[in-house]
Amino acid sequence: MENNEEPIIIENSAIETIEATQRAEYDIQIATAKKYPRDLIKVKNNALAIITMDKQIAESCRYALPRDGKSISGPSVHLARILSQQYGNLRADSRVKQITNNQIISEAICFDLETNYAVKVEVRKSIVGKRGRYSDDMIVVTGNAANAIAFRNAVFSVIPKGLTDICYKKSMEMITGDLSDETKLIQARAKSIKYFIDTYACTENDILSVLGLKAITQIKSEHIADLRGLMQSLIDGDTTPEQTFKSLKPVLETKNIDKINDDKEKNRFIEFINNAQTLDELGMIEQQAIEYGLTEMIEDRKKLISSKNGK
Amino acid sequence: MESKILFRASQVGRLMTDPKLNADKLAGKLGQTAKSYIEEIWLHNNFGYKEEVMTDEMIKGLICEQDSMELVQQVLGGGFRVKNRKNFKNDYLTGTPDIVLIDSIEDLKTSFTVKTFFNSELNSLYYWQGQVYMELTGKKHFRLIYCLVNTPEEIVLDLEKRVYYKFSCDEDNPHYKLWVEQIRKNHTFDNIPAKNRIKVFEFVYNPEDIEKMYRKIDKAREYYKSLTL
Repeated sequence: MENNEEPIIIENSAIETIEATQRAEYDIQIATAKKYPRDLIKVKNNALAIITMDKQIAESCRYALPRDGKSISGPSVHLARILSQQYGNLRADSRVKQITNNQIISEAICFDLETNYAVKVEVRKSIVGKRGRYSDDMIVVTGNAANAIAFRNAVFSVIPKGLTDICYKKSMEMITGDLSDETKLIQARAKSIKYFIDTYACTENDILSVLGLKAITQIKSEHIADLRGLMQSLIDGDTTPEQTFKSLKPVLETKNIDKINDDKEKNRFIEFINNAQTLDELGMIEQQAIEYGLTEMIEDRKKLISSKNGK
Repeated sequence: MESKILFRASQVGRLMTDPKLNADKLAGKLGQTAKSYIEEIWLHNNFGYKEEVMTDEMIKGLICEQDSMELVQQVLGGGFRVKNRKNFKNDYLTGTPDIVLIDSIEDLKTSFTVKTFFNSELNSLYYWQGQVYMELTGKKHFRLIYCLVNTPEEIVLDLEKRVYYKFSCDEDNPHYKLWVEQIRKNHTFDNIPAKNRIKVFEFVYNPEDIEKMYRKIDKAREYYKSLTL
């Protein structure tokens, strides 16, 4: 066969068009950013006004999670959102990049259009628990959490730390309120502990374990803030009560033992009745089976056995 | 009435422990273990003091009672085994055997792991428990049956939880994962045939031993009356 055919060059004009459009969009965004630069004083004041608007918003600005027997805390994704809104001239986005057998990988990009500075952040979260790989629903939940963390990390890599720190500190003051004397601290401590015990049925020891402390009296104002952050993380679903408080795992309650045994015995009776081949066999257990309310079942079985024998 | 204290079948073995010195033994005196047991009863009766102990082994024994019974039924067959709830007592003894059959008594012991099952034997405590049950019920045959059934999930999770703390709550730690895997392995016995998961020790009523026991109880009651703070 002669190879005299001319090579066909495929021009992917579609891709070029998309790239050109994106470039144009960025150019417009950068031009707009340059035209209307941010006013840092205004950014700070507006952010602080929002953060200190009420206690709930302030609480949402901080996260706290128990890790390695200690509590880790810091500015939350909510603070990142407030700051990115007020900072302006930013483009921030996060998405799940990949799901492997045991991890979910999320990626976030934050682009400061004014300074032309961009940061890309990757966050990995395990999707394998004690009972193997998470369910599809749990993978979605984990993906959302990973996206939120990636978003937060990307935004805080772009927004100056000084600004974040000022806002974070203000939110802390708002969260803990006035804890200037011991009486107020004791009240705040008792209130926080009560909240967790009432809401999540955990124990005091669980709370101490989360904070990495040994006694309730060691809970100081920074720990109160940690607990508030933990409240927020639990509400947001960044962590679960079972992950946070280990005593919430389905431990055996000794008061249930009798019930467990009664249920098992009843099941044994049912199985025995269903498998009984003679009336004598049924007679052996009849008296006790009545206590479990199995009279009807015994009568039915008796009829069945009698009819079989009759045949 | 203080002099009419009853002794529990499961504890009579402690009462029957001999003293260390042969002379004391010949004189029919109480051993130290027996004295400690009587002191416990005295403290409980007079001051409500009791040292509560609840181990994983005990919890498994309680919660797996029916699983063990089912296993015994499957392997040994015979009359349908029902948990006995009736407490038997006379002027000296009290006890609630696990299973009361037409001609015999059975008491089930659920082993915690395959190792405890392997090491299980007829010890003095269980021998006397059996004798007391036979004395109380009038049956002449006793079977002590050790059973090996899977540990309930709640207990396994509790064991895992303790390891979880040891590894600073890091579920991804490979050593933690191995440890947890081992815990599961140590408490799952589905791979062992049912007939190999029960061990039976059988013995009969011994009137001489019972007589010896009553004499010991008389001594125990005297010691009980002599106790003061």
